[in-house]
Amino acid sequence: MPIAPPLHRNWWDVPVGVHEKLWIGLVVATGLGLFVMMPVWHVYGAQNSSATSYRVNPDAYFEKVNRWVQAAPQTDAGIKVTGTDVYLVAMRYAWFPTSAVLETGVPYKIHLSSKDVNHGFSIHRAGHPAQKANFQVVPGYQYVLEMTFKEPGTYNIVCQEYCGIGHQAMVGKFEVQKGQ
Amino acid sequence: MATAVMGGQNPFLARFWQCTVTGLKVDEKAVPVMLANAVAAVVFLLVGGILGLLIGLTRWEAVHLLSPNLYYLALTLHAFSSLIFWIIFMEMAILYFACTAVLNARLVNHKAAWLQFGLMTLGSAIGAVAVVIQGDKYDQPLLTSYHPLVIHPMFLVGVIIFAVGAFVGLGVFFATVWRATQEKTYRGSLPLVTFGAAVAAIIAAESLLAGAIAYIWQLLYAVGIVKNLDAEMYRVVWWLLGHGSQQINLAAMVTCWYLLIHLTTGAQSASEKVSRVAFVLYALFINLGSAHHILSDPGVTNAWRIWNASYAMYGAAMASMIHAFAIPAAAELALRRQGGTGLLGYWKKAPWGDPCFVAVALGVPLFGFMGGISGITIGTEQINMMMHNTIAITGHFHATVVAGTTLTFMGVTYGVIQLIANRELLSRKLACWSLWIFGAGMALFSMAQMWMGYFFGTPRRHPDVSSLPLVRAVSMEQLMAAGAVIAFVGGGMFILMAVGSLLWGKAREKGATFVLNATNGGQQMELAAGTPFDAPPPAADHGAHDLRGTMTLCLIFIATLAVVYATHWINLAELWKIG
Amino acid sequence: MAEQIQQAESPEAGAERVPVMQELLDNIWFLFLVSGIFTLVFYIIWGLIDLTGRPILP
Repeated sequence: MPIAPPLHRNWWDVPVGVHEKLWIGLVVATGLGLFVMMPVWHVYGAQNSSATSYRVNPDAYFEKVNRWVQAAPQTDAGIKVTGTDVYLVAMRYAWFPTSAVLETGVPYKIHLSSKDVNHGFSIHRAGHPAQKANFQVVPGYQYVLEMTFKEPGTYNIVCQEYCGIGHQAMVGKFEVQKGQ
Repeated sequence: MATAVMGGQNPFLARFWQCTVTGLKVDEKAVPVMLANAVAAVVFLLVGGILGLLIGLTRWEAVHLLSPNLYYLALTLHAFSSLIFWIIFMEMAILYFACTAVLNARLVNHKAAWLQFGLMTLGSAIGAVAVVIQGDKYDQPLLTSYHPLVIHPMFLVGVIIFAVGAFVGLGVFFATVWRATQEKTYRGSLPLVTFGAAVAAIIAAESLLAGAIAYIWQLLYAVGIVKNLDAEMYRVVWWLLGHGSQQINLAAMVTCWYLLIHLTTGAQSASEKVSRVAFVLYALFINLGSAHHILSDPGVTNAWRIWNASYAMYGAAMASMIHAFAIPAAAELALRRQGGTGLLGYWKKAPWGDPCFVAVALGVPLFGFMGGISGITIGTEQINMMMHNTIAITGHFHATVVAGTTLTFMGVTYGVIQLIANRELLSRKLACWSLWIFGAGMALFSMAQMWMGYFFGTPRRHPDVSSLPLVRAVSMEQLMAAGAVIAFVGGGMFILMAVGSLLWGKAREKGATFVLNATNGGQQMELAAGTPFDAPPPAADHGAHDLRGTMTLCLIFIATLAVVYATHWINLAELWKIG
Repeated sequence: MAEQIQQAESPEAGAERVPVMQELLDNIWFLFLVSGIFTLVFYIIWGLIDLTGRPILP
């Protein structure tokens, strides 16, 4: 009984029933299968949160992004990204740059950090609500994720880590155009 | 206190009364502090429940009840009332029960237990008041108070005081167990319920220690003593408290399942070895799983994330699946022994009129199918990218902590009222209904939120998703709100039934009172009928046991897990190339 | 009843040896220690090593 000491003083040697053994075998196989999926997807899958991270000073990072944005060509749809690096800084309460123009097929390095508090980089493919990815944007860390967009269109960026009273106003986007 | 003493004069006296149902001896001095904790718990459940309804009616954008300011305040108070205060106060009551009555022992120091209660009450009050009056210069902490949000120091002080109180409670638990072992109030291994409670207490000690470090450091920063606090380190350490506290709930809930299924059906674990090893897996690995909150964070390596977020190769998840078999198996054995037949027909023999049974019957499948499966999938490194901080997370933890743990603890409350406070329930029928309604409401609520998160990416903790350029899941918002209202009704019924029974329930007959010479109370205990040495031993031949019902249910579980898991990978493969 | 107490005691008085694995798993203080070490090493220390190991950009 669970409210009394086990009836057998030596409960370790009491034989375990065949049903329990079968279930335990199934459970262990399930656990190992679940575990193995993760490294396997790293090898064979195209979606992994492998990233490079650096420690940065938030103000220094903001300056870097500012310089990059000022140097980039401005279009109606946002700043045009000419290289493979995309710099984004989250702050209370906006994404900077708010809108960037990218191309399909280019393996971009998206650099993320925050000027102040935790934010969340949540990118959603417009019109395809199930296609989204979410990453934590942490002050003091430069999070570099590689992304290659297959399809052109608008990719909306919202903040999904509570960052203060103006949290819901933080909206940005990538306009991904058809690449060469 | 002049009372008859068995075994001669001794300064260490304790008064026990004997439970007429279990034959266990209950330390009289433990009862008031157990009840105080249970009452505080239920008060916070009520507060949290009301706030939860208000939040649900805000996330239903058609109603959009609260402004952002009030929404974030409500979120903070709801999170703390429901996730922290209701649950941890209840767990203190459970720990005190597990180390006293189950061991036929006396509380090592009931004054220390009252100190626990006092500190936790004081801390919760200070923390709650602080966030209400803090003003616009400060950010609402929500549950997580991520540095460097601007957090009011008084809030942090309140939480720290609460944590200190909880530590005192853990100390009382461990010291009581230690002394009961010395005094030989029980023979052999700790009873399974106490063992499970001890594992919960071990997890609690680690979680609270991590939390203390995070909050104290944050407090020092808030008052200007410390100038540097790495935001990612804060997250890593905080989540050891954040999810660790939920693992306490898991271990405590599973322990309560064993207790309640035994009290209601006479079920005993088919294999002490299997159940205990599963608890040991919890103790060893479960706190590693806090890493699943860091899966989409910068800074940590893939290896750290894969090893820890999988609870060390799913060691602790395997333990949950083992308990998920062992508990229904125990019930199946008991019900078949009572004449139950058929593949699943034996469940008809179960005491469906007993709310303590209904709590387990609902809690196990809701926790397992909805909470467990979603947890395994969301906690997978790559799948997490699609789910992190969406409202699917909220759906997941309402399935685990509310439809699972809270429902179970409601059953425990009904048991405490009857067996510890010795009151009849005002209406067992309404008590059962309260659980069905609450469970149904929460199931609907969680499913709707998981759907919103999985297929629409709707963010969590957001006061107005209608302002975002995202596709809105309008019908899911309605279902979520409907679930919240239904659960509120069920929860309200529970509160009325619990409070009403405590105040106006018919008094139950308490068993005989004993005064024991506590230093050798073990040997002097009079053994009542129904005590361990009287119980018929379980049949020795396990092979002949009919467990096909449990096997069927568990295979359905694995199949469901496989389908849901595969669906997520297929969805992930649709995404553009990342990493 | 007294006889029952005696019966239950005699296995202890005799050589009912408890296997080492059971002794370990029965010992909640040992579990406390190992659990604490695992959490500290795998989660906290390894995690902090990862974080402090990130290169610092100017």
